[in-house]
Amino acid sequence: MREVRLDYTKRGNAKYISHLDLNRVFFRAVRRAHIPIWFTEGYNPKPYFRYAQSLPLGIESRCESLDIRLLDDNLPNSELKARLNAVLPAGIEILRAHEPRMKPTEIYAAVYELQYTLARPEQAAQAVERVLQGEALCISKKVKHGRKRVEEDVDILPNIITYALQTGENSLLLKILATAQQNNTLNVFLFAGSLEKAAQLDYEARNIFKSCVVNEDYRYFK
Amino acid sequence: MRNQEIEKILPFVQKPARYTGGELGSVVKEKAQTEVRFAFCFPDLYEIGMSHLGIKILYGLVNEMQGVWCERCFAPDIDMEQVMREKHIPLFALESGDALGEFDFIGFTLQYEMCYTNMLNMLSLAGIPLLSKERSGLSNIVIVGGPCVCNPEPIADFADVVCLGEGEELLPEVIECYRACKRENADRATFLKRASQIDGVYIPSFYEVEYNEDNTVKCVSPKYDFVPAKVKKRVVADLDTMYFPEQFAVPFVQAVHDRATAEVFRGCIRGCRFCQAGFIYRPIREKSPEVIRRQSNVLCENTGYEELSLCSLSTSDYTHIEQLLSELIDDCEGEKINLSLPSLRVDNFSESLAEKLAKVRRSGLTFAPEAGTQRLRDAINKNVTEKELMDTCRKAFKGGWSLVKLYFMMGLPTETDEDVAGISILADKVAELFYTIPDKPKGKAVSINVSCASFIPKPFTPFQWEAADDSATLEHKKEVLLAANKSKRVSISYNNSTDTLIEAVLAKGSRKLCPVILKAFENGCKFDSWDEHFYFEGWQAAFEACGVDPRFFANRKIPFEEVLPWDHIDYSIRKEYLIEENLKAHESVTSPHCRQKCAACGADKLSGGVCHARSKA
Repeated sequence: MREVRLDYTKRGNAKYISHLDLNRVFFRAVRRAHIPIWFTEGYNPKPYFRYAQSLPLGIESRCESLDIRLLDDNLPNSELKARLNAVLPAGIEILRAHEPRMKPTEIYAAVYELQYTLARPEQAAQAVERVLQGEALCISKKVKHGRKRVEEDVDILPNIITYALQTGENSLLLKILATAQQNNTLNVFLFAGSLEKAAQLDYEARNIFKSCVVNEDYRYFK
Repeated sequence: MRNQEIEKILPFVQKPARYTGGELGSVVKEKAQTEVRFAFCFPDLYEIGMSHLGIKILYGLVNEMQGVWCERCFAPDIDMEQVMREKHIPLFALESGDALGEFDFIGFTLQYEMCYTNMLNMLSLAGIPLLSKERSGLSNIVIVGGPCVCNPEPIADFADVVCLGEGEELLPEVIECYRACKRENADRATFLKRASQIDGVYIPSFYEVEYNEDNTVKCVSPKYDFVPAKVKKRVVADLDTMYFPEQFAVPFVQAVHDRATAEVFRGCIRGCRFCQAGFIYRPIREKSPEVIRRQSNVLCENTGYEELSLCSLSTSDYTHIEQLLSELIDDCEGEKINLSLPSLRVDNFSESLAEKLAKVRRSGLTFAPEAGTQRLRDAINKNVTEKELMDTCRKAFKGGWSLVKLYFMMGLPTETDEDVAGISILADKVAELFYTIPDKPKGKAVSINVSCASFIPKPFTPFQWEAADDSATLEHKKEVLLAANKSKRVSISYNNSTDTLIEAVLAKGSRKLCPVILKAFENGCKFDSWDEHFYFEGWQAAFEACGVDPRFFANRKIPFEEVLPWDHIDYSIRKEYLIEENLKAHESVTSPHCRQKCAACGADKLSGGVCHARSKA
């Protein structure tokens, strides 16, 4: 038995597949491709699937990872990848199958690309710049105070490690490098929502794309 | 899906993957090479519609046709509908994202009466005129099928074409007829005229209904010489050679029944007098075990499903059940597939069958005694005795089960308070039985869930002449039922008397209901089968506005000699046979099942005389 990490994409309409539903998608793909995988023991055997991170519904990505355990030590990674890609739905594609080198807990940050379609992108870029250079950008978050759950305003600017802005014709691209640790992760939807409110962005369409995940040394998660 | 407007609203709705299409097994064709486009609509949520076997069969079948593209469409959830209406996005099919208005056929499968307003809502969301007479041109043919159309009269004003019976042969014929008309540039009227010549096709607008002064039907007669006075339903003679899909569209969002399904047989030998399915799906036709096994394996292989379910009205009545089960259990064990067997009957849950089932992963166990006393079970011809139920439960408890679901009906013809109380008493006995068993499951408490549905008389059953209980009677019976329950281990649930009334009206209604359904829809009624959306006041207002008394259809006992609104629809069940069965019910006399003695119901007159119950007896 060996552990294999599958790096995969979630693009196009596949971004609307929830994390829970995605698990079924992979399980059924593995069955269709006849990949011999290891099941957990016990009364309710389940396929051993470990995701590096869960991607919120509605975000596209090209840097997702899933670890599985293969019962067949002789199945080459290239063949594993090809067989799975032949039976996966559009938008979900295995980019690499490889031996895991890092643990998911080593993940430190992720790059998100927020792509806006809007009028007067230069103006919008300046507004975004002002917000991100400002004192604070707050979201209201449910936190625990002892046993009580209360809503509290939390500043999320410290989660943004760095950012870059790029404008095109009727488009604005905001790239952010944000913390993505288990206990200190940026909810990119809440970030986008409060940013858009603070910068008064009036956009026609918005797409969020997760493009890479890195460890503390800014090396790609492998 | 390629529609940008739809794409923009998806981030704002719940479970957006219900509206994107792109599931594995869904079929995308080249529009340029498509002559006929068919939108297969299921008038309920995606999760419900994607559980339905019929849509999967017909979707696969129509897509096998060259130049014909069948797509799916479901009722959008409330939040999606709201955004669609705000942004003026017409209802679209999942595969292409194209608006329904662009389709040649808008097909609805009508599985339950309480989805009629959803059908209207979907047409309205698509911007298609709701009334058949308001549609023109050759496109947007609204075609309906499914069990409800055995009485198509309540929706006669909305449907252009009604398909009676099984669609495997009928639907391709209708589509070919349409294709020919399209090639010739023929008009709508010409198509409808030609379609009316196909066996099993009923064109409501070609018939005229005359009423008596008391609102009963005087007669239904064809307006033209070229249409038959009575339209007979279609059935497929040989299930072994019949089309069955090798692939299902596998949903991303979990459907209610998210699994591979193997159809075992059609029809039912039992003849329970309340059961519409038991009569309208006749004659009995079995698939051979080899075919079922092959189809199951192919389907599991192609879909990757981890569960296989056997589908029929009463799976344990399948002639080769033991052979089939042992083979399938072996196949499934190897592939780590769970086998599930709904529709098992109490009385023939044999020792060896139980042994085989023990290998199948257990969830709860469900039995449907349907009535609380032997007298009433005899009257409805549910040939199950209390002893059989107890024996089966004993075996089940010994086998490790501790949760038993019991299905009953309330409001059955001839029912007394004693029969109603009998439901609770019977459930209590099952609960007590658990504690008398020495090798019962350790450390577990027994739990008996009693689900009590209101009886609704349906067309083409021996009870079609009977009245449904009115609200006051049903409320009284609920009190009797609850008062008789002494055990904490028994929990009882039942449905609303108001939705019972509406369903009863829709099931046996005449064309007088068309304006009522339209009005109810305009009043905001939709998702009537969902408790949280059911809007009784909307229906009440609709009845009042149209001057229709719902009790006339729901709560009135009909004399045998009265013309029924569906008398011109022929499901090949002799009326004399249904009358005989009705009379026997009132004397609490049972009838033997079809394998014991053929009742000459008439179903074997279809399709060249096939009935496996008789030929194999």
